[in-house]
Amino acid sequence: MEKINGSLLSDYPFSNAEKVADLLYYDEPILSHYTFKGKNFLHYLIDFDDDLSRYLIFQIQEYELYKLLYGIKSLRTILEQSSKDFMFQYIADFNFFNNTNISYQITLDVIQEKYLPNDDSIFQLADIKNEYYNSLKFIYQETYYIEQLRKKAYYLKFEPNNNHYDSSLGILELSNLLNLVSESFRNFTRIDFYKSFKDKITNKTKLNQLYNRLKEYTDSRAVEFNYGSFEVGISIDKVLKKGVADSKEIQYWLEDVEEKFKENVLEVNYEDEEQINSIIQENNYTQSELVEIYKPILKIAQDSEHTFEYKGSKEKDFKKIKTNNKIVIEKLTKKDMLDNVDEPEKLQEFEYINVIIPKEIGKTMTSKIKLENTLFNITNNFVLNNDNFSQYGFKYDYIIEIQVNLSSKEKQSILNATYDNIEFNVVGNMDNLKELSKSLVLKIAEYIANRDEA
Amino acid sequence: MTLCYNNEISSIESCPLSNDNSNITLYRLIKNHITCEEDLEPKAINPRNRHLKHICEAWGISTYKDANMAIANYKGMNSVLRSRFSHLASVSVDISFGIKYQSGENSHHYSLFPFVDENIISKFTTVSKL
Repeated sequence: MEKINGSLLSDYPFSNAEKVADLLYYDEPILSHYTFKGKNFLHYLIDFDDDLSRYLIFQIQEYELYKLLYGIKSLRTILEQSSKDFMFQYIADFNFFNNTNISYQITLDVIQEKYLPNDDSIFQLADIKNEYYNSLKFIYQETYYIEQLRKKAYYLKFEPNNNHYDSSLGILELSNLLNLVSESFRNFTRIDFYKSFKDKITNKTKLNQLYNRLKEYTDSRAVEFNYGSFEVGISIDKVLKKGVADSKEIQYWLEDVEEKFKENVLEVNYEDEEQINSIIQENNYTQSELVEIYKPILKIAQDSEHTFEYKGSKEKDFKKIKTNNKIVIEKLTKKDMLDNVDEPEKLQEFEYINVIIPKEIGKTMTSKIKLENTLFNITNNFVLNNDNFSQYGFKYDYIIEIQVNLSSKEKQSILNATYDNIEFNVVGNMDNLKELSKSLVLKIAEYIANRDEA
Repeated sequence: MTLCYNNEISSIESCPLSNDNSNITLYRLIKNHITCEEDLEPKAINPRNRHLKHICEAWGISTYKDANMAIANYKGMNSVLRSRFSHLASVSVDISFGIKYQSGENSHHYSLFPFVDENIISKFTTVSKL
């Protein structure tokens, strides 16, 4: 058998896994379903020799298991989906005679093609005797799924104030309105995620990777429509995405974040300054976070051309989301407002710095010096954040904070940064730090683009 | 009549477990167009399965009473495992052919323990190319 190009593990990670059923069996189990810590895994026989049986082991979501059992998706597609949902797959070589094994953590892209199921690996396994598999059919049949989402859905209603088109909305204006709600929700989930986990997961790279993986699952689905004025029922998919999180805490967050958004954004009385203050205090929102979450919603609420209404469930009555409270509007939509109001005025403090200025040999100095074109010999590091990247058109849903070290050597400036454990260096003329910073930003942005695409 | 691998099987208590006396057609994946004896070897013969020599099931061979289910198993295999098979064959199994009984979670799966028979190969019919 061929060498495995993965990380060797000291122990087999699933030694306490419980077998549910052999899904494919031909003289021996070919594909078996196991559960481990309440999660679903497939064990797939991929090779053997006179001593060893080699298995590919991968986690799948319950909905994927349903699709495999009922011939909706091929085993190949299920495995590919697993590699999107879960960071690693595993290969284990078992010597059952000696009761030993060697296990590897691996990613799908480095597994040899011959070890993967073929594209035609689609089959019906409905004849497998198992109560649990029967129940999946009931749970995931089409109407059950949509009904479950509808139970948890909240409803938005947009009505044009001008009756020129019998209360109907143009596709473009509707898409703009929904985009604003979606923008607010996206920002809310991102901010809430980092607030909830930044102290628990201190490794920023891991935190960012986790958020990038989870954000797909916070994507809301439109589950019901009504026309005339436009009504839409919206819900996060809690049925299919059940069990995707690595820990109970993260799973709980995923299940709860939509409720939090409803409570903190859609159910708010925007005329009530006290309620707004208590939300801000409770969540410890910064001014820029407030703007990211509330500005899109207030843009609709203040729009004189539409009435914007919300209800928490199908049975409830719609309530208008609107405000004329200028203080609230200012507080939630103007950047730096809180900083000015809440923070005590700082005393002016001075420190004295030495400045190195490039001067072309033979030319005289001008009296005006642009500070951004200088190198400070005591300020030898700074931080690149999301603002620095967005300045050049790179916007990310996660927080970026990269420490940059500045040094100089033989009339050259060197910027050095480490991101994702990768070192980035740019070297250039000492006379334009801004250009040099831009080069560093572009270099890191190129790396992020390649990483995120992968 | 004597079962194939009778020496090994007789040393295992209550093996084979039971017998379905009906006459049914069973399907098995085979390597060659004309079935050879290798296609009828139980997994206990394979050195990596020597730990199973005392397990009754390891001396039976997998067959399916539904051709589609046998094909589904083939379709689920990767190219390494598929390379062991090329055709689907059928065999009509009555009490004179051997012992058979439904086994495992799939209701179409049968464990088959053939009797020693010089003409066993001729009793298999190739159904289709895989």
